[in-house]
Amino acid sequence: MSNILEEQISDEKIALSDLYDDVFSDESDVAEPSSLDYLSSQKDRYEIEDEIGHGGAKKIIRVYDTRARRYLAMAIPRSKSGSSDHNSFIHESWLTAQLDHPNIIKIHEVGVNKDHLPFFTMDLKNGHSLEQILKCLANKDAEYIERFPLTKLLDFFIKICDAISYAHSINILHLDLKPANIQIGQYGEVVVCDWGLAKIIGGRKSLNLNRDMLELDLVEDESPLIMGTPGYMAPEQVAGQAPTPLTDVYGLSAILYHLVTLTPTINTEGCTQALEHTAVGKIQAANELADISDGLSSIIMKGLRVDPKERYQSVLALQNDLSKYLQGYVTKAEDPSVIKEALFFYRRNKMICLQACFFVFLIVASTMGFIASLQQSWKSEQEARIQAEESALKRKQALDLYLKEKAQGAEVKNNFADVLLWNYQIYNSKNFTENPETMLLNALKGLEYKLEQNPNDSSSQMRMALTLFILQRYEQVPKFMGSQTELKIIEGALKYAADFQYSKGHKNVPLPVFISVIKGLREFGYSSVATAYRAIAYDIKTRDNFDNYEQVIEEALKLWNDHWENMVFDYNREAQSLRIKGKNFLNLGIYDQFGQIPLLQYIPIQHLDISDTDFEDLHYLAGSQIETLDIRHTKVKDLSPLLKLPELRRIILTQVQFPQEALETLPKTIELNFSK
Amino acid sequence: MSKWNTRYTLIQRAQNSPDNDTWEEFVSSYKKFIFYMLNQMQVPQNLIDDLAQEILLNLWSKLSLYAKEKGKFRSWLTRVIRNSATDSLKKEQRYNKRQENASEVLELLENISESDFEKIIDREWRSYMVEITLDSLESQLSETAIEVFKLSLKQLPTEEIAAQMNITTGSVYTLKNRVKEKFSRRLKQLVRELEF
Repeated sequence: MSNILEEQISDEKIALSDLYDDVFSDESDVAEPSSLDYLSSQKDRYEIEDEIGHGGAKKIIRVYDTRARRYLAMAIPRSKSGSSDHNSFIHESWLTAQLDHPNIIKIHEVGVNKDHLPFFTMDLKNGHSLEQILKCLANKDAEYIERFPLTKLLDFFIKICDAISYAHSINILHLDLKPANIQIGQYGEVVVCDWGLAKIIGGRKSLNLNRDMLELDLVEDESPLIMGTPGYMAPEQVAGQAPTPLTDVYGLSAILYHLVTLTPTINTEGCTQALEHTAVGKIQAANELADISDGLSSIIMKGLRVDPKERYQSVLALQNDLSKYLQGYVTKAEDPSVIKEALFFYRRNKMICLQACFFVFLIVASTMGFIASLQQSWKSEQEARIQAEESALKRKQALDLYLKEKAQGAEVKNNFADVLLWNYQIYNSKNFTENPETMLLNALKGLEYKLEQNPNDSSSQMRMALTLFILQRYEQVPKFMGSQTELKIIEGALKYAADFQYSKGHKNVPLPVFISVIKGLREFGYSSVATAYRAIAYDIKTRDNFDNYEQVIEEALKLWNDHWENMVFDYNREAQSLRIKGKNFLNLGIYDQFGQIPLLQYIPIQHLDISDTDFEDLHYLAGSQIETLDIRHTKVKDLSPLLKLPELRRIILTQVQFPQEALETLPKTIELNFSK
Repeated sequence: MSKWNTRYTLIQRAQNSPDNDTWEEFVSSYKKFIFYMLNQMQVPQNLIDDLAQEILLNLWSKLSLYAKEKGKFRSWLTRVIRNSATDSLKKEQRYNKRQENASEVLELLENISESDFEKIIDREWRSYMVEITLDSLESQLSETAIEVFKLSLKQLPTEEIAAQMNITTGSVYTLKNRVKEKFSRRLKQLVRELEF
C-alpha cells in the first residue's frame, strides 16, 4: 500500500468526488415534491399492464393503481355492445362487493371507464387456482405432492366452506363453485372468486334500506338458460329448478370429491352426457378411486345426492362432519381403564388402527372358520356350514351397521365398544373354548361401556347378565335381569346359587355351588346347553382343584344326554373306575357348534366301562389316564383315537365288533379281551 | 427538508451547547474519516489511536472559535490534521529514534505544500461523504435501485445496465434519476450536518 500523500489518484476516487461536485454545482435547492402534489398530479388512476385471464363474459387485466401505488386486478366486460348488456356484469360487481370475508375476493372500486364500459377492481392474487394445483397433483408432480398433502387440501376446503357459509348467512348463493374459481395464494390463502352466477335469495329481515334497494335492482326475470359448469353443477340446476343453499352444498361436495380423488365427479367427453350423468347421479364412489376411509367417502357422497333433501342440510353440517372426521372424536375424560387407553391409542393412530383391526379380524375369523370346519366330522360339518353362512350374514350386517354408524356420526367411542363386543362374541366364536376368560373380560368391558352410554338397552343388559353368569359372579347378575326369554334359562340356576353362603370375588365359586348351578341349568332343559357349555369351559380353564369334579361331569352328562334312560353313573374314587350304563347314552363330554370338550381328563380314572350304551365317539377319552376300556355293545366304529391314550393296556370287546384290519392298527402293547 | 431547517446542525449544537451527547455524536461522525486518513498516511499503528483522539479534541475545542466567514471547513480540517500529526510525530521521533516509519511520514508531511495536502484531504473527504450517503440509502432502498445507480456511476450504458439487472431500460432510466435525486438530497443534508 502506498502512502496517500504520494500516490496517484484512482479513477474511482475521482468519480466519487466528481459526483460530490456535481451535486453541489446545481445551486438550485429544489424542495422535495410533496406527496399531495404527487397524488393530485395523477390523472389516470389505472395504468393497464397485461391481461391475466378471461371468463365467459369478462376479462381480467392487471392494472397499476397510480393513486394507491399498487397492482390490482381489473375486470371489464369482453363485449363492447350496448349498456343494457352490461347489467349482469355490474350486478356481479355489486353483489361481490357485499361480501366481506377473508376467504372471498375483495372488490375495491366499481366504475365506468373512458370507453363507457363498466369495470371493477379487486385484489390481485399471486399463486394458482385450485384447478391448476389439482391438475399437477393428478399428473404426480413431485413438488406439488410434497407441498399439498391431503390434509392441506382439506384445510383449504374447510376455508372454502367458511366463505360459502358466510355468504349463505347474508343470503347470497355462489352457484358456480369449482376448483377453477378457487385461488390459492403463495402462503396458503384461500380465496373464492368469480361470483358471476351468484344470486341473492330472499326471505330475510331487512339489513338496511340500501341493501333492500340493491336487491330490488338485482331481481331478474327467471332465465331458462342452464348456467354452471358440468361436473360441478347440481342436478337441480341441470333441471332448471330454482337454486337453494343446497345447490352450493352439492358444488362444495363436488370440489371435495375432486380434492380427494383428484378426479372430477363426472369425467365424460360431451357436455350433454355430463348433464345426463349429473341428473341421475351417476358418480363413482370416492373410495373406489382413492385410498380413503369409508367415512370420508360417505361424507363426500352424501353431499352429492341427487335429491337435495338427502344432502347435508347446510354448509355448516357438511363442515362439522368433516371436521369431526379430521379430528377423531374423543374428548370426554374417562376413568382410567383399558378402554380409555385403547381409545387414546386408537385416536393417535386412527387410520392404521381401524384398518389393522379390521383386516386382522377378518383374516383371523375366516381362518378360524376354515380350521373349525375341517376338524368337525361330516355330521357336524353340515351344521357348521349353515352356521358359517348365518354368521357370515350376521358379520356382514354388523359390518354394514358399523360402517353406517361410523360414517354417520364418527362416534368413534361407541364404535369401539361395538368392535370390542364383536371381537369377543362369547356365544358365537370358536375362540371361546381356547381362552374363555379373556373373551369374557373383554366382552364385559365392552358391555360396561355400552351400558354407560345407554343404560336401558335391554340387549346389552341381557348379554351382561349372561356374561356375569358365566364368570360365576352370580351375586351381580340380578341387577341386569330383565324379562328376556334368554334369561329364563339361568333363573333356576341363580336361585340354587343364592342358597349358598361363600366368599365372593374369586374367579371360581366353591365346587358345590357350581355343581348346583349346572344342575339348575340341566333342570331347565336341553336349550340351556349353550350357556352350560360356556360355564363349564370357563370353569375348567380357571379352577385350580378338580377334587370331586365327577359330580360336575355327572350333571353335564345328564344335560348332554337328555334321553338317557336307566341311567347309571358309578364312579369309584379308590378304584379309579367309572361305569356308565343306560340306553341313549351318547356323549361322554360336552359339545357345541364350535367343538367338544372331553371331560374325563379332569378326574383320576383307570378303568372305564361304557358297554351297553349308544356311545360312539372315542375322541371323548382324550387326555384321560384310562388303562382298561370296556366298549362292548357300543356304537364305536373308529378306533384311531385310542392311539392317543398312552396308558391304555386292555380293551374289552366282542368278537364280531370290529373287522380284523381295524384291530391290527392298534399297538401290540394293548391286550384285546374278547368277550360276549 | 423542514426537519433540518428547524433543527440545529451538529456543529451548531457543538458551538452552542457542548454536552456529552453532542460530543458522542461528534466523535462518531468524524472518527471514521480521521482514522481512515491516518491509516492512508501510514502513520504507525501505535500512534493512530492517540493521534485520532488528539485531533478530535482539537477540532472540538476550536469549534467555538470557528466562524463560518473565516474559511472553508475542509481547509480548517486540513490544518488541524496536519498540525496535530506533525506535532505528534515529532514528539515520537524525539523520544524514540528507532521509529523509522514515523520519520518517513513526517518527512512526507513536511515536504508537501499546504495546498497539496488540502487537495488530498478535500478529495478524500468528498468521496467519504459520497460513500456514507450511499451507505445510508442502501439501508432504505431496494438492492436493484442502488445497484442500478452504482452501475450508472461507472458510466455503464443504460441498455447494459438493463440487461445486467434484468429490467427494462425505461425502469433503469427512472430508477437512475430517482435515486440520483434522492442521493443529492441526502448528500446535501449530510454536508449541512457535518461541514461548516
